[in-house]
Amino acid sequence: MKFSHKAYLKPLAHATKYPTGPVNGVFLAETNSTNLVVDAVPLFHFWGTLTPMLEVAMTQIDLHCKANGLRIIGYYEASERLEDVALSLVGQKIASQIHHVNPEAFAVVIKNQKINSDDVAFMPYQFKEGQWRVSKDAFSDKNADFSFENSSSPTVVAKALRGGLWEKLADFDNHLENIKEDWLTNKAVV
Amino acid sequence: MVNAAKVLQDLRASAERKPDVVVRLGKPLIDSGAVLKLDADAWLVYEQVAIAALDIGDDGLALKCIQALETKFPGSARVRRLQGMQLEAVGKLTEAGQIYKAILEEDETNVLASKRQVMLLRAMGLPSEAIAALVKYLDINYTDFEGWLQLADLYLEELMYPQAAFCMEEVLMLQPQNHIFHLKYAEILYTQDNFQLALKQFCRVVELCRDHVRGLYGMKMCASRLLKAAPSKDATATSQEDLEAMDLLATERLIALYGAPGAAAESSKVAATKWIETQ
Repeated sequence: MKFSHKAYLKPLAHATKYPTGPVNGVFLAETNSTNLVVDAVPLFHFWGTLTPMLEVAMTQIDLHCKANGLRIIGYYEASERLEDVALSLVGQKIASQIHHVNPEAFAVVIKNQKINSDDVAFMPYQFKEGQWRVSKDAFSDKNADFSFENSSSPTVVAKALRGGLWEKLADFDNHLENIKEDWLTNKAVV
Repeated sequence: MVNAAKVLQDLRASAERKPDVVVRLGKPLIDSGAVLKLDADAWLVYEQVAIAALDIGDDGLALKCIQALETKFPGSARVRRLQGMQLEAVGKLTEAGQIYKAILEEDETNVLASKRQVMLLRAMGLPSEAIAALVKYLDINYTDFEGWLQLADLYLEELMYPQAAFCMEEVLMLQPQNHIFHLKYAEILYTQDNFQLALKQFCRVVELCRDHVRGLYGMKMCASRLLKAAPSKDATATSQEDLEAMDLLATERLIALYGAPGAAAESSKVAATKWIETQ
């Protein structure tokens, strides 16, 4: 998987905006492309373990994808605990559902401690031998499964976040409070 | 200076968590010593800035505030709690836990120390210990709705939905007029597949807060699920006619809200409109 700039920026902006709670969202790829992750859609920061709005959000993202030649290809989350990089129970369930439709689907847990640095803040998980496992040495020469479309993304994103870009990001929780909030494309951020 | 003190006071009153603002306004007051002109309020500002400094990771400022408080109020449990929080901030969780434990040994009913202890256990990734500590706390302080909310969150993290629903019932008994609590209860019930009761709670949300989008979505989800299922034989269940009426009401309001000019981004509007059509 190759992450575009947007697909790296939005999840980190989401985690930066809500440091005291868990956040999650999904990754999108183009229907025809096999390995380019073009975008991310932020979902929740209130409570991530309840299903009704997740059902609404996932169906709407599906509709958005169909209209724009995209598909859901992965899931991301960040824990409110600084050092926690384990994929949560709910995260495993959502990621497994995406995986059910899409065998190459993956999950990412955000490394909170790396958000404000030039290091890569994504910890990717792949579904292997019946469970979600960390993909070791991701984003390095040793691991061809995960990389960036543009290798400067981590540096550029860290700088943009320090500049306060995260304030403009909207997730589905924000949208439900004020439908003006552009959660599907987040044009104000990119 | 007067304005900064006023803003800080308002933030204390509203309990908003804006550490960046608090530090920006409070740091000059403390560094210049001007804070002492505020008399009794000075110590509240010290406490407020200490917590905000911990939030944004300004350890030096936090220590300075805590030391000033320690000198003024030696041995105070409230100051020792701040010392515990400072230890938490620098990752010394065990030492922090010892401080909270000592405070609670002297006074079992110390609210601030009990709450910190729960959050500490949660931060250490020990959810069942955190739940046990919070249950003990709520045994004494059963009217603390924020405590019940916290307990609901802990249960939700463990996917223990019936227990979380029980906590929300306690919250609603204490705070029946807050639509957000009805919303959370409704979403827990929906997650448990209790669509009948969830629908009633979503209706309550819309009743308390007109055109509440999340409430309307919830109403529509419940009503269309119940309409697709076989009619319930239970006499207390909502009738088919009422379900259809509620489904129609939620649909109409959602279409009207998204349809208003400039109400939503084009992509959101298209997705929402198609969603409404497919339900």
